[in-house]
Amino acid sequence: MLASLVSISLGAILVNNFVFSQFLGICPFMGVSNKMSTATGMSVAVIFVMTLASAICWVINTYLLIPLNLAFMQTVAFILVIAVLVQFVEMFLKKSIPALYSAMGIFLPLITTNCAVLGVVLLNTQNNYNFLESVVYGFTGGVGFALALVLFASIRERLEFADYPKAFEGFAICLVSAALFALAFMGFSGMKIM
Amino acid sequence: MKKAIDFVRPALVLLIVAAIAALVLGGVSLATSGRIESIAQEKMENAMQAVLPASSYADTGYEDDGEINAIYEAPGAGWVVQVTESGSQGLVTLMVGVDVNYYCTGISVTESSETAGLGAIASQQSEKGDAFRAQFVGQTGTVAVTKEGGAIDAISGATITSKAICRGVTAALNVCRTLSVSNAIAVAAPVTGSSDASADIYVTQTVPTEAQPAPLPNTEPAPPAVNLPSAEPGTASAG
Amino acid sequence: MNRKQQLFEGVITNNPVLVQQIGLCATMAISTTLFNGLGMGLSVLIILTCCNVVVAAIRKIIPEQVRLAIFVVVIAGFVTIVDLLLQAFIPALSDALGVFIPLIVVNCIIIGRAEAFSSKNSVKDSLFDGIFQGLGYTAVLIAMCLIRELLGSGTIGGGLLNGASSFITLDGTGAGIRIFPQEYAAGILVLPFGGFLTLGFLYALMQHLLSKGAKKKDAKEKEVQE
Repeated sequence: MLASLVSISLGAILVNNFVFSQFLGICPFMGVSNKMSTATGMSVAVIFVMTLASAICWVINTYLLIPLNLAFMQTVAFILVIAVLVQFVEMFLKKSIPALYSAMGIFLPLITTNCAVLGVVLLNTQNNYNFLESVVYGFTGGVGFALALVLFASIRERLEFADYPKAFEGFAICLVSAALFALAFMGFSGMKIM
Repeated sequence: MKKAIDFVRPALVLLIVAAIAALVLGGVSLATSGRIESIAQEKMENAMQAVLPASSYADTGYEDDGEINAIYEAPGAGWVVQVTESGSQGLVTLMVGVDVNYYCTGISVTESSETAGLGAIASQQSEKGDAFRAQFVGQTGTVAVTKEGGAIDAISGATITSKAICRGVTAALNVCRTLSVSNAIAVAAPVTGSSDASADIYVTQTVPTEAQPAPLPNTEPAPPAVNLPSAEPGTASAG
Repeated sequence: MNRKQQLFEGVITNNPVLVQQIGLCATMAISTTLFNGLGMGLSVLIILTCCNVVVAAIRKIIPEQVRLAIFVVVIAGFVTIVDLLLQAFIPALSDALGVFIPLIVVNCIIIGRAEAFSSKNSVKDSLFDGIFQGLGYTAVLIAMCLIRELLGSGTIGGGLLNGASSFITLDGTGAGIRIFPQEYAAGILVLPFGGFLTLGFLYALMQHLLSKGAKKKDAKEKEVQE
């Protein structure tokens, strides 16, 4: 049991990193990685929402959709759950933990359309994970996203002083740098604890 | 009054849109579910036919242990084992045919998300894919890639996938070996009619395997069968 | 509305991937064979067009507060329909694209067009917008696939074309037409690394061409002024 959880975590953070090997959450990854402070804010928000969404969607899928033979409604149900969840988290934080809200508040609406969140929920059902495995996969998937985001933000801050062809200015050079990161993360592939 | 309407209308519209969507989806799902199921069934049967041709396959009721998903018995011919291993990008599911002497009769990769052009060759209907899969025919005992002292030439650039498939085949061969052990016990025990003995064995043999699946992967392959297939890989790698 | 200009915008000057920088995940993830790329591109085109039309048709009765929720339901509905149809009729494509089919729901292209275009324009304009933007997306996917497949595995039309037996196959098993032997291919281009790199270079090329075009335009205008 523990071994499988460790293997799931390792897979989600390093081997099959959400950003660098599964291509999930690229849009926000590119969008907010230009500054370290926004990157950390987004990271916290994503870890939080991914863990919660994994837990809630697992319950909905197992106790509502599958018994009612509504498995084909999964995509619709999950995206609505995520949208509502994000809204609630935003309201809750605003009222009760304003400090945290000011740190990650503006990133919350962006998370609804972050495909890493819907992706992790869909992968949970595809891999037939149980409740604990789903939550662990959601949390560590978020950690993997955060790791990628923070690493990349630190590189991007230095990119500003780099000298590269004019055509590569902006987005293109970011993609090329991300490619090099993907190459580095390839080193983890095949790593396995079992 | 106006406030109440302001609040109710959006909710109502959302509800109606969701209801229409659910209805349409229900219809489409109803219309396609039969076809989707038959495709899955057909795919499974094709894969089984490809690895171990037989007239019928019976599920032995083996409980999924995370590696071995299911074992189907083809009466008189052997078994088809469905195994899942983790490859380089995700899980690789394969069907392994095993004959009654525990030799592999063929493999078929039914599900994988391996890299296109590299690991994906293992599941492709191409010259290379066929050649790779053909190497497993006639293997027994522990199957491994040449790098690890085995007889399987790994797909170039996809050692991880090749190793995963070797692990899966080894696991399948081992699990069948333990099946037969319980099979032998079942035969030794007084069996009712000799005519449908196979059916009886079939039920009894599933019980011990479910009870102790743990020792299976560790079981060392029985030595007597190992020497014969060493002639095989030469012909396979030439192809 | 000028259709020609709309087409030009959708495919080139306002290309969803290369200019608007949206829908990147699937673009890089599945662009390894022509079969995947074409399948994904056409799926998005169909879903985008349908969503655009429906959103434009009901744009006047959508309450402002819940519009995003309604867009999401409409999009998720069409995505599920396409998903089910693919599973039933082109199972090989459904297997190959996997989780990226349901993930079209959060593809920013679709919700972006619903919010920015079809909720403000007529059904007819939205229909064409969906088709043109979808074409723009498909074009980028095809370009990515051609580059990555040719350099990465030395073939063209993998999964879709089969040089040996039948010409076009829909079961995803075609090995493609071999241009040069596998041994000389840079296999790394079909890995995630190649996805980022290829898109980066395509993006740079686009940026270069657009800036060149803009300069020419500027020069012309200057000439006219002088």
